[in-house]
Amino acid sequence: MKKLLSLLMSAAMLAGGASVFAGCGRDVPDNVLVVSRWASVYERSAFEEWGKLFEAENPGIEIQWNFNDYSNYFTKLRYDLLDDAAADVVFLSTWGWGPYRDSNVFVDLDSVDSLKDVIAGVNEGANKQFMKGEERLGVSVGITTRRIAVDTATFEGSAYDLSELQTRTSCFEPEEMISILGGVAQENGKKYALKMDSSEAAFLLTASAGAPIVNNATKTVDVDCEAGKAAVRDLVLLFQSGYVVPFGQDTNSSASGTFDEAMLVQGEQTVLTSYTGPWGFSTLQNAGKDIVTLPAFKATGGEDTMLVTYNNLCVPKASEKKDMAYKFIEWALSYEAQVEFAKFSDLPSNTQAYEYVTGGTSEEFPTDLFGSFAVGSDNLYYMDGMTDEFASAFSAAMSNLLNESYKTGVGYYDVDEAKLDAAIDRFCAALKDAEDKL
Amino acid sequence: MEQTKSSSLRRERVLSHIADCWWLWILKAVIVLLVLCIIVPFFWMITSSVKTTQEYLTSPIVWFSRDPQWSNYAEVMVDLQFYRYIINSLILAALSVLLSVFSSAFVAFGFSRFNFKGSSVWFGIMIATMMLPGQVTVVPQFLLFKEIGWTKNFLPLVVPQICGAAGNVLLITQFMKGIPHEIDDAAKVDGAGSLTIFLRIMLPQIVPILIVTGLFTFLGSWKDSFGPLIYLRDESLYTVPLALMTFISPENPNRGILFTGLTIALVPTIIVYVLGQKYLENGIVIADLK
Amino acid sequence: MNTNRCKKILQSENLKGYLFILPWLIGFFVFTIYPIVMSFTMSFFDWDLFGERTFIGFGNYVEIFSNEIFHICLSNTLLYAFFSTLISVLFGILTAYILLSASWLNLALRTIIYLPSLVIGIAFSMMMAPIFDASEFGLINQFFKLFGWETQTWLSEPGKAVWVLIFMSLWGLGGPMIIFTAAFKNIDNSVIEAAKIDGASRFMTLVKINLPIIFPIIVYQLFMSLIGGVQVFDLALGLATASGTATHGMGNQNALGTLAYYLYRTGFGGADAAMGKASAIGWIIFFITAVFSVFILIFIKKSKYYTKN
Repeated sequence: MKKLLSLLMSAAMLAGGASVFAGCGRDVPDNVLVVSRWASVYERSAFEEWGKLFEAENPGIEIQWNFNDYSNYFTKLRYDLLDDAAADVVFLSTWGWGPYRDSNVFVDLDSVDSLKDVIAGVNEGANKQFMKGEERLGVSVGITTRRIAVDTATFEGSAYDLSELQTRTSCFEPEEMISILGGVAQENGKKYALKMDSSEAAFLLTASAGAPIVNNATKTVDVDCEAGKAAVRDLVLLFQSGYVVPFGQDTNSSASGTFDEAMLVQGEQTVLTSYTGPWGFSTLQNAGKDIVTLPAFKATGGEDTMLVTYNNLCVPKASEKKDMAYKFIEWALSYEAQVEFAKFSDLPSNTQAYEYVTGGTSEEFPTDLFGSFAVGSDNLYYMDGMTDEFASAFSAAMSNLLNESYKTGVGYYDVDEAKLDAAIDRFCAALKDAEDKL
Repeated sequence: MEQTKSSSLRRERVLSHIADCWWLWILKAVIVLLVLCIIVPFFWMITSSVKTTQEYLTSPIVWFSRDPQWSNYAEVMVDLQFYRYIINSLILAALSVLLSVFSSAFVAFGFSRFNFKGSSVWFGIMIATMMLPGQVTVVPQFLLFKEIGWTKNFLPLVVPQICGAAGNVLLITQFMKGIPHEIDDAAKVDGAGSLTIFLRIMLPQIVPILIVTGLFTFLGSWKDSFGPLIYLRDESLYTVPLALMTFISPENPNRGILFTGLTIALVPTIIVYVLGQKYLENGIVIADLK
Repeated sequence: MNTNRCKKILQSENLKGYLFILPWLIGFFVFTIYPIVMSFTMSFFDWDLFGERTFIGFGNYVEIFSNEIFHICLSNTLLYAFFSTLISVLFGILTAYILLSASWLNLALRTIIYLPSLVIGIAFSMMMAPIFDASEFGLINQFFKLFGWETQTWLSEPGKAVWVLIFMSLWGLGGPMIIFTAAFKNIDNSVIEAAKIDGASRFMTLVKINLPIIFPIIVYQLFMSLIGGVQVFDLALGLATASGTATHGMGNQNALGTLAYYLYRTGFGGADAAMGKASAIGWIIFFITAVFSVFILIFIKKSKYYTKN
């Protein structure tokens, strides 16, 4: 009896297995264009709705979205491409760009005549990205920013006017940030901290300093850059003020679910502010916090700049529906589509749309993403992610620097200038040592 | 007189028994402590399955939800169609177990009972293949399967199991070494062929270890997230680990569902384990009765 | 004459042996050998998965050995491999022995000890996050506070995090425990009874009788723990993710880096897909495992002499 049972079970399993095999490898019909992007189950409808606008303008073409998943998208993409089975249009971000830098998998979009106009309409800075020499392997469809997220509860009853801070039209300098956070802290008798990760800190030492210490474009470290060193000094003082928590904890651990933003809801204890992007704001809002965003900050004396990463559209060479793919890209970069895109996703990379979205105080656009502070599309700093190894060395050097500097309490402090300068010099030297990892 | 003598003897025996294994009792207490530590994270995970996002993100830890979202379970199973992924995982795991266990036992029989030329060489090579981390061969294997045309479905995950897994073969071989040859020899004298000996004599004796091997193989397949990730394209074929990944995102307004999914995913594995343990105890009885 | 020789061949040990291991042999030649050879060749190339494959000889190896991250990973891995093997085998045997009888309590305890082996990778890092949280709200830290001990930054301490990793190898105790349980149960009871009658204490019985009988299984577990230890990856990745420091490194300043984790980051996880370098790391792992295996083989030979005596 038992034997019969187990035989039946095995047969059932094999049958089940066979049926599963039979059901796979379905072919995609000719009029369907496959577009892939990362999105969890909760974000898909927004993209699908956006895609329907394209379908309306191009009857006969249907879009099939391939939302692999949020955390494994880039890994899966590599194997899809290796298998020549990726989508026809692929979304790629700064972070996932690495393996394709010198590759031959994507079509050179500069060679497509129908796209010449839309490409010209994209921000100049965005157009410098995803280039392999003279070949354009991808064109920017959206840019993602960073802002400072603040819990309105911390400013309740404060002498500092939060709405005024929100609507200001220039970046904060670190000293300003210290005095504001410090002041609020003193008012509430609490401690606040600002979290950011190493790449964002590197930004403060590069673009906004004018002449940067770490130049990711030329892959060099300039240890004599005075403006850069002044920026480091500001950053160190910001962290040593006791209000600002330095790197080490990244704000991006989506896979584990333990966002550092979680620290923001720490009972009655420490409330943090966070220098982060749209993904971080959602987390905070989902945690029930009333979040308001402030303009980011820059190095002392530096120009108003906004740190951005970018999301691009690429077409794999293996795609068999390239014409439809180009049509989609042409549409996606058009003014109307870009404005719609900004309503639920990134800032538009189309210059005209960008000016529109960031220029006014329109209610249509999520204020947590853009606020009312607008940096012109000329002042966008495109962060071209550091290599993991350099980022690691950078974090280590920064940690050492912070440990070495004279640690003080909350509020006002005496700084031993000589010690600080020496520590900063050691920091630069450590970066110089890691230069080959850039 | 008689009474006191036997009771004092008994007392002596009991005392010596305790003195003999006091160290056992201490160790047992340590184990209980360890077990308590292990329970904590599981407990947290299960109670998190019904928490609101806010409660999940709060520190200090919220142990019991004050607003339990029991709807999470319905949402995961029905709306997100988790049951399909469970079925996929079960089919894949069952196939792997059936093929791998039998095949590994087959190969192990060859290594342990036959002293053929080059057996130690091949055995050594087999062990050596385990010493190379799997991640190194993933990409070349992927390219190999692409050439054959086996990508986009389950085949790369199942077919290699027919050839036996090195770890399973090693384990079963070691067990077979402990099985005495007498019964084999007796059967040989009776004219039984090697295959018969394998099926009728060896297999029944190693049922416990086959169950253990089956359990390990089942879990290996169940937990595998990388294999399905790179070989499966169609979302309807996804296995449980992949499906769980799709629940993770900062945009997710309901963090709890990830834990709901994880808790649900725990159930089949516990069932398999409990069944395995039951048959393990029974199997030993059968083996003893040989 | 011919039929006799045919019969002889058919019945020969050699043929039968090869026939039985045929499934594995086929699998080896079809699915295994090509990837192994290719990965070895690739370790001498600079290959980014999609770019050009340029031959750079020992370039990958030189780069790896001169990289300080590698040295951190190497020491972490060696420490982990050694201690986790010790823990797995020792505790595995002890636990299996103590929980051997099929009482309800023992069954329950065994099940709970095995529970950790049932969790899917993501679950692990999520479960560990609130426990090892470096702030005062981490579970362990709260526990420490109760006793007035200082709170620690568990997973973020370069140099110390590896000990947490080693301690966490207990998480995988279930596997060895089950194997040793099965092994102990397979021991013929008559031998144990005989020992009892002879007046041997439990401890003596365990050491002098049970252990030698299950010696092949101990060897198996030594190997598997060793191989698993040198290739430790899931645990390290899980703990690093749980501590929130896994984006730009393997933990704070790569504190939780192990060789296999380093392999993963180089070839699969990070921003790049340097498959050539990843293959090189893999072969370095192979080499280290091989060296350790030789030690174990020597140990086995020596103990065989011992048991023979």
